[in-house]
Amino acid sequence: MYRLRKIALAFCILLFSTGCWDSKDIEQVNFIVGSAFDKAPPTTSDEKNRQKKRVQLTIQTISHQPGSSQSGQGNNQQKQYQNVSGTGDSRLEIIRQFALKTENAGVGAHLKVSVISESLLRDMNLELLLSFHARTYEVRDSCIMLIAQGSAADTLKIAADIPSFELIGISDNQYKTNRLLPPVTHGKLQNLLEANTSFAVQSVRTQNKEIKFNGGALIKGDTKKLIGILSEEEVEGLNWITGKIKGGFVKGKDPKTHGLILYEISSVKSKIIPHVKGGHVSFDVNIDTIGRLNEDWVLAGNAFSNKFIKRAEIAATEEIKRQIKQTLTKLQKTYQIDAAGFGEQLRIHYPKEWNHMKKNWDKRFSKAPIHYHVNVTIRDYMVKGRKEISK
Amino acid sequence: MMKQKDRITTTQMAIYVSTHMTALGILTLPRVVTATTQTPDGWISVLLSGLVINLFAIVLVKLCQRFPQESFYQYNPKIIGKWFGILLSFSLITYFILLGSFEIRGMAEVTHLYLLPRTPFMATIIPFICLGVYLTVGGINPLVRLFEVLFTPSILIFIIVILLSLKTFEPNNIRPVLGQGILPVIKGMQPTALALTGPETMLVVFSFMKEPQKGIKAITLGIATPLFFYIMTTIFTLGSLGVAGVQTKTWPVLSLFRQFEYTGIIFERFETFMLAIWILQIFTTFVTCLYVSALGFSQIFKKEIKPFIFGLAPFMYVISLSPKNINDFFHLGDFLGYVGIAFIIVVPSIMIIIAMLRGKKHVPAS
Repeated sequence: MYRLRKIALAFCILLFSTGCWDSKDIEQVNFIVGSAFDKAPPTTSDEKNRQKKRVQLTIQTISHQPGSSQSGQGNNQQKQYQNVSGTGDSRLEIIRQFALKTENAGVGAHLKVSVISESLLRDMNLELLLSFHARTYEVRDSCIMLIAQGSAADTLKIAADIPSFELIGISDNQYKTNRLLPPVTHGKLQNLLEANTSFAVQSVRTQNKEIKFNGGALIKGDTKKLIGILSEEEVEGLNWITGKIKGGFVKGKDPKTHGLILYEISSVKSKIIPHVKGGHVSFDVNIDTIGRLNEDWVLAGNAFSNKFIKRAEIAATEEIKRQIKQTLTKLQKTYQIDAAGFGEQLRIHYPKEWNHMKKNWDKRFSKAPIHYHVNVTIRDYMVKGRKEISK
Repeated sequence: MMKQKDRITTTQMAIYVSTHMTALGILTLPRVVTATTQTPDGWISVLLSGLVINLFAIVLVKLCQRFPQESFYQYNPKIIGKWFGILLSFSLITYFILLGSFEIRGMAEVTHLYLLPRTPFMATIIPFICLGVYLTVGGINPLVRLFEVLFTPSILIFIIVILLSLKTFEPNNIRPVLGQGILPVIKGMQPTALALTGPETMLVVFSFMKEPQKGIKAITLGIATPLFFYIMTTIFTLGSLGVAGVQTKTWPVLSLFRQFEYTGIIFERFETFMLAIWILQIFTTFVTCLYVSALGFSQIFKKEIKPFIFGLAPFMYVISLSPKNINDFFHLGDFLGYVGIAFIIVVPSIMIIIAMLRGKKHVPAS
């Protein structure tokens, strides 16, 4: 009896430990690592023309491919990735096409980067476009979003082992340059859109299979469409206002000799202080930055003396102020869009007033006076202090 | 009447209450609270309602302490008469059966969505119930011992994973504190009901306590632990997703853990850990519901408990599959929240007043 029980137990355990219901061999799975959205080219197909807002979706998949010895042509440099495109007006429809085009179905759980083309976003609501991904459990919210000037599909064809990984790698370079916007993840993007906030997303441009992260795309909060592109320098100014700088440098001009002075940024603190007086909104932006003198093209520059350090600080301050001014003009005058989080601070400090103002905030913002104060501290000058001994 | 081995200590009691409390409610808590407050002050609502619940739970313990050897099913006829008493007992049993089924369904829904998209509900629910039955048959002691084992790892994993979410945490999202005044916070207390149900099991299991005089300590600890989790979860979820983002997600807490990835260390993604401990927490709640309702039947009919446990299991399976879609399921949750709160706030308060007026109290035999 006892023996019988043991056997029964063993059977039960075996039955339940046989494996996973949803299992799938890893050889049969294509991992989608990147996706790109473009405007669909015009076609002659009837079914396609009935759909009004068509999108071309390109996905990049990597799969487990052991050895490429059978390729025959002695081509050792086989591509590690595969790009497939499809058009349609819904995600599932396009995915259905992929099932007809490729052997193994893609799995979206490892999607790392999504690139959306500028032209598509100029006349399509980003939130609706994102509903492509937003509802599925497969795509994680940590996937990074980029805006492509020109073709988005091209960004997935750049010369790199796996273009998608290259894109993510560059997005993480914030500690080397201050011309990069902090990466916007899919989850963060959704939250910003749902809050009707305007914001800036990193934009990229591809030329001859080479990619450059070249500025910021401005997304308007109420229409959720792209309305303009900031240049690299303006992105720098925007980063100074938001204080989201981890590294990089400022190229200033020595006020005395007009030689170049390069200030390397170690840390930045920025504080936006809103003021509301009788319905009039104004802002103070206080920026404190600490860094070091890295390079100077001033022959008589003696960093051992505080006078020169002061001059270098002034040089950096002026340059930062110039960048901020340029950015604010673009934001307030050209595009009338608050992408720097001024409204956020107003919401925090004046919640009651914000309730009345948030309706047409972008308009109000364009008229709000903004004063900015920059305080640069140069802490050291690395190995060398001076170049020549002055007589 | 009851065997000496069926006694549990004060710590075990506290763990019992807290594991019973942490269940399905935590996953939707940030959403339901924020949808009402519309401000980032949801966590204050959670804190306040936790304190209120604790206050009434103390009343509940006071009621139980009048009858330290008996469960709610046994003493309520003495207070409000036989028929009303049995009616009340049956409504409590029904509540527990529904709550248990609700928890299983929630477990199945989330597993289906995030872990096993093509596995049918049946395949996740049936083993779950079978294990529950296996555990429950052993009585209260195996139950609480399991809870003790699960308690520490759950807390550790929870704290580690929630701290990892600091990567996407933005302090601006939870500011300003009380920007719209206190009114939204008060309003936000109402939808916390489901998350805060749990202390009502004390009505039944109090009779197992070794030291009934320490009941208040047990229940306060038992409520404080999950309350701490709830507040942390609400703050971190709001901090990552923002007031607008939280309201649109079906399971905001799981969305929170999908916001970030850590590359370079052994694990990149952490929602699996959270789901694992969370499924264990669901299991504990389901098991207590099963046990407490079966105990109710056995004490009312004065029969062995085992047949009731086996009899209730298929019943709970059927109920768990009865909500037609996920919205029905959420509505059932809201309803259960209010019933649970009624059993914590209304029932004990009225009963203790009646008991005081009629002078009903357990008189020691010797």
